[in-house]
Amino acid sequence: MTRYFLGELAIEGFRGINNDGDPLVLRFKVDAVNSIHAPNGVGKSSIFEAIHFAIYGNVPRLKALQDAEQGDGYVVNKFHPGQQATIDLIFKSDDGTPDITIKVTRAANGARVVTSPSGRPHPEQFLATLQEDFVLVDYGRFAKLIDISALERGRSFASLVGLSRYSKLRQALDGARRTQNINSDLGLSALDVEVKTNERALSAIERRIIAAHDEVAGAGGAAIDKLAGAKTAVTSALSSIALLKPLVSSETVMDLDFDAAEKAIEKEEGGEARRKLDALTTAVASLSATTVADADVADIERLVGLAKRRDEAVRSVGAHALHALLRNALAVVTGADWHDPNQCPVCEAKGDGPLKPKLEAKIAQYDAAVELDAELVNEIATAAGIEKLRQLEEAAAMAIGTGDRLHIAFDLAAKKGEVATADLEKIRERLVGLEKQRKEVLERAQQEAATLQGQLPPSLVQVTRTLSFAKQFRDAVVEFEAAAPMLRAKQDKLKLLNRWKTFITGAVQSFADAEAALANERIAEIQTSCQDLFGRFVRGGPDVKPTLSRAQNSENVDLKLANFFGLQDLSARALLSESYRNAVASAIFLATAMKHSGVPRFMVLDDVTSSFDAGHQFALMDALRTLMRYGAVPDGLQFIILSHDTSLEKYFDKLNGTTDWHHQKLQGMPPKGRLMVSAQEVDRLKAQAQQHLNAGQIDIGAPFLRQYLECKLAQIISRLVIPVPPDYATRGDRRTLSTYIEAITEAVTLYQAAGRCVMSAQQISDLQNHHAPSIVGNFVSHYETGAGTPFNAYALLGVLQSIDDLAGCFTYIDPTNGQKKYYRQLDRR
Amino acid sequence: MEFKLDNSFNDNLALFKAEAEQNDPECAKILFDNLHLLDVTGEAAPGRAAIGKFHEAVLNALDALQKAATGDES
Repeated sequence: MTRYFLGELAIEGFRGINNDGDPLVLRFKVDAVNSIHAPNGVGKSSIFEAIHFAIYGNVPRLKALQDAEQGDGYVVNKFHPGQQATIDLIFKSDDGTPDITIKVTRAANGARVVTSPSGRPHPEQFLATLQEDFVLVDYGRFAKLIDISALERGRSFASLVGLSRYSKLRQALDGARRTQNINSDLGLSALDVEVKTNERALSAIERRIIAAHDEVAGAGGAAIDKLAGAKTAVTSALSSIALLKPLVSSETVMDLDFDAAEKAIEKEEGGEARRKLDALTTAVASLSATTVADADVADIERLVGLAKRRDEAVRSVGAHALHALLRNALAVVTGADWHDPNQCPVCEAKGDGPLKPKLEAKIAQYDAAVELDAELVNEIATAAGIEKLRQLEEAAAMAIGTGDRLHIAFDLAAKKGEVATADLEKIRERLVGLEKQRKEVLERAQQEAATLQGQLPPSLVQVTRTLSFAKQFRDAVVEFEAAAPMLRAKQDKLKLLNRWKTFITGAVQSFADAEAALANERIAEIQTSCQDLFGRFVRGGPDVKPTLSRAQNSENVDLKLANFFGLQDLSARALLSESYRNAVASAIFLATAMKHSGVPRFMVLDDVTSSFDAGHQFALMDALRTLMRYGAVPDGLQFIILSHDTSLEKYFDKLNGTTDWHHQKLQGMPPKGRLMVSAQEVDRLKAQAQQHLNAGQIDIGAPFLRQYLECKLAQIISRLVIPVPPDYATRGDRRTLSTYIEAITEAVTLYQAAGRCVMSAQQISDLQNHHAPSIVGNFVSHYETGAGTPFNAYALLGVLQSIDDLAGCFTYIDPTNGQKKYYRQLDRR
Repeated sequence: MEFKLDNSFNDNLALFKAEAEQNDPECAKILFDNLHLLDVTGEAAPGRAAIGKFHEAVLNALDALQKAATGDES
C-alpha cells in the first residue's frame, strides 16, 4: 500500500493566519523530525487546526462552541479581505508514486470545496483515508486517553490502533441486534402478541366447530384438519331429518339457507317458543364454553404480581418525569456544546468527576423499570384470564351493557402503557364475580330451555336444537376459514422475524468475539514497545510497566500498572502523576502509530510536552529522532512538532541543519499581519515594507518594518551566537526590539573590551554611533513607548536602510567567492 | 471465526460474511445488502435513526423473502 508523508503546507485566510495574497508556506522533510517553534499567540494552533480542517472538515475548538456562538464563522480569518480560507497540501509517497496535491477552500458563504490540482480522483476520499487518531495529536488527547472511562478508552484505542471501523461496525450491529430496537423497528413484539391472541381465538373457534359438530352428527370423528369430513357429516345429519331434507338435498351445510329452514320448522309448529328455544340453546352452548377455570384467576394473580414488581422498580428510582429529565441531561453533557462534563446542566453544581456515567447508571435503573412495564403490557395482551373476561363481558347471554364492561377501559389503558396494579386487582375480582354470574345465567337458560322443550313437540325440539347447532357449526367454520390463513401468514412472518433475530444475534456475537480477539492481538503487539518507550520517556523514574487489557465481551480497555514499586495490577489513572500519565499516553500513541500500516505516514504533535520537564521533553524528542523517525528506522514515521517551549527551542536550534532534524521558526503578527517562517521570509518582509512605505502607506508598512527588524536582529543573535540573558526573552512584547539591540551592542562592547572582537573598528563604530542609535531613535523608541514625533515614510525607509547597514556590520567578504558572510561568532570568522 | 491481524478491514469483513452465509445465507444476504445503511465509515458510530433505516430495509427484504417463499407476486 502506498503511504504518504506531508511534504508541504500553505495556508491563507484561516483562523489567525491572514497572509492575504502571500500564504504561509511550510516545507517538511520526510526523513527528518520537523519542528516548528513560535511564541504564544503567533499561530501554531492555527496551523494544527488548518491540517485538521483539511482532513476532517472541521475545527474541534469551533465545533465545541454552542450553536448560538456560530463557531463556524470563525474558520476564516476575520481580517482577510476575500473572507476565504485556503489550505494547500502536498503529500509525498513512500514508494516513488507522484505527489498528491490537495486544495481545501472554505469560502465566505461557508462552502468547503476540496480539489486536487495534481488530478487525484476523489480528493475527499483521499483525505478520509488520513483520518487516523494518531495523525493529529495535541496535549488534550494525551491527557484524555488516561482519564476517560474504560469504554471510551476502548473506543479511542480501537481508533488508535486502526480498528475504528471494526468498533463502529460493532456498535452499529449492537444497535441492530438490540431486542428493544428489533421489537419496535421490526414490530416483532407486537406481532408476537397478535399471533398469540389469534391462535387463542382460533383455538376457541376450533372448539366451537367440534362441539357443534358433535351435537349435530354425534360425538367422535371430527378434527380441525379434517374439516371437509366434518362438513359432510353435519350435512348428512341434516339430510336425515325429513323436514330439512328438501332444503339440504342440493346444498351442503355451508350453503344452507337457515332462514328458510327455520321458516319450514315454524310452519310445522312452535313460532315464538321455538325461536326462544333456539336462542337459549345458543346461550347454553356459549356459556358452557366460557367457564372460568382456576388457571384463569391464577393468570391474573400472576399479572398482579408482575405489576407490583414494576411498581417497586419505579418507586425505587423516583418519579417517571425524572427519566426524561435525566435523558435530556445526558444529551446535554455528552453534546459537543456543553462546556464542562463535570457540571450538572440542571442545577449547575460541579461534581468531582464526569456526570455521564452517573446519569447512565440512573437511566439504566429507569430502563429496567420501563422493561418491566413493557413486559407487563406484553403479558396482559396475551393473558388467558383477561381474554376470558372479554369473552364473558361480551357474551350476549350475560347481558352486560357496554358501559359496564371493565375490559374496554382496561384495554385502552394497556394500549397506552398505563396499567395500574389496582386495575388488575379489580379485573381479578370482576372475573370471580362474572363466573358466579355465568353459572347463574347458564342454570337459568338450561331451566328455561328444559321448560320450553317440555312444551314443544319432542320431534320439533330436536330439529330446532339440531338446526341451531348446525348454524353454530356453519358460523364457526366461516370464521375459521377466514382467520386461519391470516394467522398462518402472521405465524410465518413471526417465524421469519425470529429467524432474523437469531441470525443477527449470532452474527453480532461472532463479530464481537473476533473483534475483541483482534484488538487483544494488537494490544499484545504494541505492549512491549509501549513499555519500552515509557521507560525511555521517564528515565530515572520508577520502574513501572503500563499494561493494557481489553475486557471480555466489552470494548473496555483497562490501563493498569503491572509493577508499581513491587505492587501488581494497580490503576495507572489513580496512581500516576499528570506528567507520568501523559508519558504513558504518549508511549501508547507512538507505539500504536509505529505499528500502523494505513495511508498516513506522518504524525503532527502540537504542544504535547506541556506537562513534561526539560529532561523528559528531551527524552521524548530523542526517542522520536533515533527510534521512530523515518530515516532512522525503515518503518518509521515523519514527525511534525509544534512547540512554544523555550528549552525545546534551544534543542531544536542545536539540531537544526542535521540530517535528522529540520527546524523552522515562525514570526508574525496575527491575526492582522502576516505569519511567516523567519528563515525564508525575511527578504519578503523587507520588500513588503518597502512597497508600502514607498506608497506612503505607513500604517501597513510600519508593522512589516518591525517584523523585518525583529527577523534581522534574531538572525544576528542566532548566527553569531550572541548571548541573550533569559530575562530578555521574557520581557513584554513592546520591549523586545530594544532588548535585542541592547544584547547585541553590549556583547560587541564586551568582546571589544576583551580585545577579542572580530569586527573591524569601522564596523564597531558604525554600529555603536550610527546604525543602532538611528534605528532606536527613529523607530524603536517611538514604537515601544508611543512618545516622540510620529513616523513619516521617508524616516522609516531610512530605518530600513539602517537595519541592513547594522546587519552588514556583522559580515565580511569571503575571499574564496567574494560573497558576504556573517562572522561565525563575535571573536571568529 | 477469527479475524487476521494482517488482513485489511475488507478482508476480515469477507470472513465475517462467509461465516454469516454459512449460518443463514438468506439472512446474510439481507445483512450485507444493507450494511451500508449503518454508515460505518462515517465520523461517529451510527445513531438510532440509521439503525431505524437499516431495520426498515431489513423488514422489506424479509417481506420479499416471505412472498417469494409463498409464491405471492403481489
